[in-house]
Amino acid sequence: MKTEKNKITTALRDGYLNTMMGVIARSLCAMSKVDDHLQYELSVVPDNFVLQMKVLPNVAGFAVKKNSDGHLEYLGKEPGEKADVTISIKHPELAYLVFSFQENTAEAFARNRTIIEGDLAMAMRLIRCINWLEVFILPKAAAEKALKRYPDISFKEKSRTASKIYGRLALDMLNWSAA
Amino acid sequence: MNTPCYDFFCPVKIVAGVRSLEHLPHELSNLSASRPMIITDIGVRQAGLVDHVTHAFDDSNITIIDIFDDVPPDSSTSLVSHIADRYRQLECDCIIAIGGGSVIDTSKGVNILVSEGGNNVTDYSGVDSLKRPLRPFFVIPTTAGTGSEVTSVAVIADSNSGVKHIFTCSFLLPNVAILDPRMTKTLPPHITAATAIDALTHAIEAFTCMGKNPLSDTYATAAIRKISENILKVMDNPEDELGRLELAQASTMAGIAFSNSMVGLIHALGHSLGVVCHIPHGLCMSIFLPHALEYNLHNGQHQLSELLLPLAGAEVYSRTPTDQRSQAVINFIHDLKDDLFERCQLPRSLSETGKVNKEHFARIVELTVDDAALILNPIEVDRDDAMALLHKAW
Repeated sequence: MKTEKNKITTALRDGYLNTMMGVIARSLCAMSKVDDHLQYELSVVPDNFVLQMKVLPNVAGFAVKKNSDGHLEYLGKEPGEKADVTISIKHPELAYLVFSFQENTAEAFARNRTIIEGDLAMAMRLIRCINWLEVFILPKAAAEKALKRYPDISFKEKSRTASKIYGRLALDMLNWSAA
Repeated sequence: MNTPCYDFFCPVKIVAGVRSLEHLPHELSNLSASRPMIITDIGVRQAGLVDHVTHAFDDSNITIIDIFDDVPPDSSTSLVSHIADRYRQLECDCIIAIGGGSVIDTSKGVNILVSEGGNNVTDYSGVDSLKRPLRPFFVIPTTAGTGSEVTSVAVIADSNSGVKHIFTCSFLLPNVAILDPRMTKTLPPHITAATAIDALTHAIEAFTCMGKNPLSDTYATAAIRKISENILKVMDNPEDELGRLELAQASTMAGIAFSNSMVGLIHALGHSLGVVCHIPHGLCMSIFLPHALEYNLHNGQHQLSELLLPLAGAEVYSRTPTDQRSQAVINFIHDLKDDLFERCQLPRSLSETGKVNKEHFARIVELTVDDAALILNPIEVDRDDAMALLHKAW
């Protein structure tokens, strides 16, 4: 039986996971419109390909789809259709380890905390995209924990790309509000 | 450091040793099976290996219902459907797979269809698609390398598109695996060498990649010791039954190790080279093994030094300074490759295969960075790193 304190902790944790996953998904979509490296990675992903990432049992998640213009579109917490690749984290506590940067993605895989369903090669490519995004949207100290190797980029380059992502994200959010 | 959280699973009964094939009728009876279908390939049958198995049933009340001996080196979904139809028509009740990776993977696919129904095995592809145990399944490996008899994975190509479907589920594991030295005795020298290096690579990557755990480490180091102690002995004396048995056991132990910890960069490169240039898997492993270890070592991988003891023995280990043990492991593997080249001309480099040219490199690199094995390599590998490794292995 959960105590009141546990219920509050669980609600805070789940709220944090939903926020983080939402930020990652929307930032990934924004970055796909402004970053050459990400566009190169996505160039071989088939059009209408849907990636879903979720925390079991449906606590948090996001789904994105590659459009015919080569960019990613945010579909929401659920894809609304069968995803081509689904990466599931087995429990919210395990997801919290990943999204609070106590454990990186590769460590989560090594410890069997995740399940990948669908095309593994595409899953690898999309994980690389998320890793690349994290280089720019996370502070360097957090990104170094989230990645096996922090790439050799200057602060200037990091700031420039991050500005482009956040700028695009702001524009997207305005468009969503208008719609 | 071992990963602090892990899964370890291997429910396969291993029957190993001289005359272990003669245990097979009893093992079938234990599982109430009496109408076996043998699945194998023509090479195995022509080498007389199927006869060893059928003779084991001579004094039993079990009759072999069918022998399907036409499995090609690369299996396909239509072949799986065809064999499953035959199994149903003949009312078989279990499968005995006799062969290497392709035969074993095909048999895993057939067992899915005859147990779950349907005619399209791809309906069950992916991770954990099967929800209950399958029909009784027995595996008798004829190579000492793949470890497929203890892995819960099958790869079967789609007959129409050529796409390789991956099936991963613990219910794919056989009930019993039989390791009898008669089954690997006639392996040609270059296949003996390549498959032993394949098993060595499974064990080394199990020990050095991110999914390592205390149990897989135990299997991996024991496998490495057996391979190191026996590979050249068997190359020099192919009739050495006990040496053959040691290699077969090492292959199974390495299989248990890597199926519970996964592999890394060497397999990612090897899978890609195999797809692009059609080089046998064991040979791919042999070519990349020292180079990929060196890459990981020079970028901060620390566990390699511990492998000098099982690989080279206590004397070499104790006289090698601690800070030189990792490099000594790599040197040992280079020397082993030279020894095998002397004995059976097993190519040591990409150029020595005669089947690879540098125009293939770009495609190999793209496949390598998309290979799922790379995620558990302890060191990050990007396209430039993979390209540099290919040039080093040239």
